[in-house]
Parts: sequence; C-alpha cells; structure tokens
Amino acid sequence: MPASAIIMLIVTSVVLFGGIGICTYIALKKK
Amino acid sequence: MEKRDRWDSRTAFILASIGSAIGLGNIWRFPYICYANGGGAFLVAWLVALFTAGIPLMILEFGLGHKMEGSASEAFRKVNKKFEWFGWAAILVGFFIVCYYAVIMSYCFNYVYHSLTLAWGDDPGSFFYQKTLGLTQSPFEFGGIKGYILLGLFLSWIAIFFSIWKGVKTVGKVVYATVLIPWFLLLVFVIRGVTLPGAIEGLKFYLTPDFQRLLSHQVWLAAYTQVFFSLSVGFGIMIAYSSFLPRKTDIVNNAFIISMSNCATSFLAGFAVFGALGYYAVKMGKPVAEVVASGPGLAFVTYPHIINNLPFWQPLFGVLFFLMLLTLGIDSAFSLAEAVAAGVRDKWKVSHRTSNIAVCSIALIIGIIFTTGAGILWLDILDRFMNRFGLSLVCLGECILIGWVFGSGKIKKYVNEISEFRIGIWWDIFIRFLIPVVLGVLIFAEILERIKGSYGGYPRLAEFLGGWMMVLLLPILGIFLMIAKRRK
Repeated sequence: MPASAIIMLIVTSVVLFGGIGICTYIALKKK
Repeated sequence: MEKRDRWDSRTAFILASIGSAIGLGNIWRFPYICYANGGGAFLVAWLVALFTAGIPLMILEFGLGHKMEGSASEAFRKVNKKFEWFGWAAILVGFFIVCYYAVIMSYCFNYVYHSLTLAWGDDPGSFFYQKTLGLTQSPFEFGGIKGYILLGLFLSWIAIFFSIWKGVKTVGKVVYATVLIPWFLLLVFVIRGVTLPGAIEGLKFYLTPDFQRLLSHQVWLAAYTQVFFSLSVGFGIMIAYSSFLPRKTDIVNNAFIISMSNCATSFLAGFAVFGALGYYAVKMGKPVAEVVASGPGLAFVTYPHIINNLPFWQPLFGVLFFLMLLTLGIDSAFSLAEAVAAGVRDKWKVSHRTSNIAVCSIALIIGIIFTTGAGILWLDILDRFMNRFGLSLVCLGECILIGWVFGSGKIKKYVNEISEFRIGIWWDIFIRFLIPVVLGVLIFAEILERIKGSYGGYPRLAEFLGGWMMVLLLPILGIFLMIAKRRK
C-alpha cells in the first residue's frame, strides 16, 4: 500500500473517530 | 393540549438519527464515489463538505425542529403560515423515497432467503435482473407484478409499521437493534474483507490519493452531493426527530456526533467492499477496475459473485450480508415514514395508529408499481429526480427561508443557549452563502444534463412521468395539504 494511502487512512480515521470521541467525551462530561 | 411524545433518552435520539442517516448508500455508493473521484484525495473534499455543509444543515434542522416543536410542516408553519407548504414538500420528498426504498428492502428480504442455497448460481446478473425482477425492456412494458417482491414489500411495511407503532417511544427501542446489529455485521465484513487474500489490491484502489483531482470541480461537487444525500437532511426527518427532544437538551454536539458517525460508517464500509473486490479481482485474474461496481449492481450482482468465491461458509456470509443491508435500510425507511406520520398527527391530531396505517398503506399501494418488471426502471428515475431535484431544492429552500427570511441568527442564538458548545459566525456564512451556492450549482448542472439528454437514456415521457412530474407534485401537493382543514 502506498504511503500516501496510509496517510489518508490515518488522517480520515483521526478526524472522524477522534471527532466522535471528543464530542462523546464532552457529552458525558456535561451530563 | 396533548402532550408531545419524547425520546426515552439522548442515546435513543442519537441512535435513531444515526440509523436514519446510515442506509444502503453508505455501503453501495460511498466506496465507489470515493474510488471514482481520486481515492484518498476525495476524502479531503468529503471531510470539507461534511464540516461546511452536512453538519451546518443538520444543526439547522435540529434547531428548527426543537425550537418550533413540530414536524417539518408544523415547524415551517410556525416560522410563517405561508411556509407550511414547504414543510409538506420536504415531507413528501421523504414519502416518495420510502415508497421505493421499501421495495429495495424487499429485494434484501428475498436475497436473505436466496443466500441459504446460493440460488443465484454461477450467473448472479441474470438471476437478479431476469429471474428476480423479471426486468422488461422499457418502463412502459410492465410485465406483471413479481409475487416474491410484493411479498417482501408487504413484510417490509409490516416491519416499518411496527417500528413506528407508538412513534418515537417504539423507535427509541427498535434502533438499539437496527443500528447496533448492522454495525456489528459491518465490522464482521470489514474484518472478513481485509483478511481475504488480494484485499490489499482493492484497498489501494480505494485509498491511494490522486491529489491532482482536487483541482477538478467535479470532485468537489461529488463530495458535496455525497454529504447532502447521506445525512438524511432535507426529508423533514431530523426536524421531526428533534421536535421530540426534551426542552433541556443539546443540539450542536448531537449534530456533530450523528454526522461524523454516519461518515465513519461509510468510511469503514469502503474497507469491507474494496477488500472483497480486491480478493475477487485477484481470484478472477482481472484488474480491480473491471470488477468495481456500485448501487444495486454491487449488492445483488457483484457481491453474490464474491460470496460464491469465498473460501468457506458462503451461505452464512450471504445471509449476514443481506441481513446487514436489510437492517441498515429499515431504520432509514421507518424514519421517513415517521416523519410523514408526525406531520399528519401534527396537522389532524389523529392517533399514532391512524397516522401509521394511513402512511404505511398508501406507501405500500404506491410501491406496488415498483414490484413489476419495469419497477426498477421507474425506481431509478424517481430516485434520481427526488435526490437531485427534490432533496436539493428542499435543502436550498431551507437555507433561504431560515438563513435569509426567518434569520439564521435566531436559530443560532437558540441552539447556543441550549448546546454543549456554541456555533459562531461560520455557521451563518455556510447556511446563508456557501450551501445555497453549492446547491444552486448542483441543481443547475443537473438541469443542463437533463436538457442534453434524458436520464439514463429513458424515453422522455417516462422521465417526465417518473421524474419531472413527481418533482412538480411536491409544491402542488404541499399547497393542497397546507390549505386542507386543520383539526384543532
């Protein structure tokens, strides 16, 4: 797999799954 | 005054909204669009579209529904009595879509059964188009109703009817199964997909970026189109769902969680699809580009081919795959039905049972046309026009009516007062300028395409009856429903 594909995989995963994680953390903290 | 239904919990609301957004398109459309528009580079445009259009629109719909405490028609009526028709038009887009969406669920029902014996044999293409659908040559050559499709359609509507039995009270319970089961099954297929020999060839196709493509406006339009069509905005669903939230709640954070969860599901689905396609291509000794597919062709033709070639447990993986599609589809379908039923209840103050029976039975009857030999042709035309015109025009109208006429500032102020984090001026800019411009370009481009030639090469009359006329019916029926006598 080309390095550029792996970078895109990591960036997209971080944005989406990281974003979900942060938003869920905020929701749980404010509960 | 009758008390409005409420969600049992925030989790139920979030799952229901995710379930509504996640549908068959996440599996059979996104991976292909990504591959066809620059692979990994498309992901950049897609993420930009998500944050500049998808999430702002979802915040708008959640904010509007919650502030006005009504279904789409009721919410727009409360914005201005003259706008009620527009709310109905949004609901009707969803209603027309659920009429054929339930038929696609019927295909899945049939294929769960066919998977047990791998009934498609060595030629899944002929099995699907000839034997299952009895596909005819022209939209006007109906070729009779296919009994098994009709039976599946009936089962789909039974499932939808009971899923919205007591409105969001029932929906809030059902979604634990209809969201978590397909997620689990998707995970199974991702693991199965990426561990197959040759999967890496498929994943290269899916993810290798061609950054040059980002200079093409087509890629950006495809990214925005994908975001608009996959988040379930523009059907009145999110307006209705948020109207059932308790007064003390959150809007912005929910919109972020739901939108990103939907996109994460699409992204993951790409691994399941392209892993399997890579395996199939290597096994057949063909390049991946030759076996790649999307839409019903991927699910009902290419995937059965892949299932045939799996090293073991083919019937099990077949059943699980179509069960995944079925469970993915059902919560999108019942959310569409519930959005219509909520509009009917708000206007005529009828019971859940009455509104559900009315909506489900009318949609079932309309759906029968899609069970004929020409059904998939009409389905294809209606799908294109409802998405490219119906949904786009509704989203554009929402941005204009709320952003410019009602004032986006009022919705922003409202959601900021109750949300866990605040939205700023960026939201107004996206709602008032960026999204209308993008949607305007999309609609204009589609009109030009249709002037050049009929969609899919269908006869102009079929295109008119199944497409243009249905789009014209949206405002006409909307006005008719607006002037219909309201029950106090």
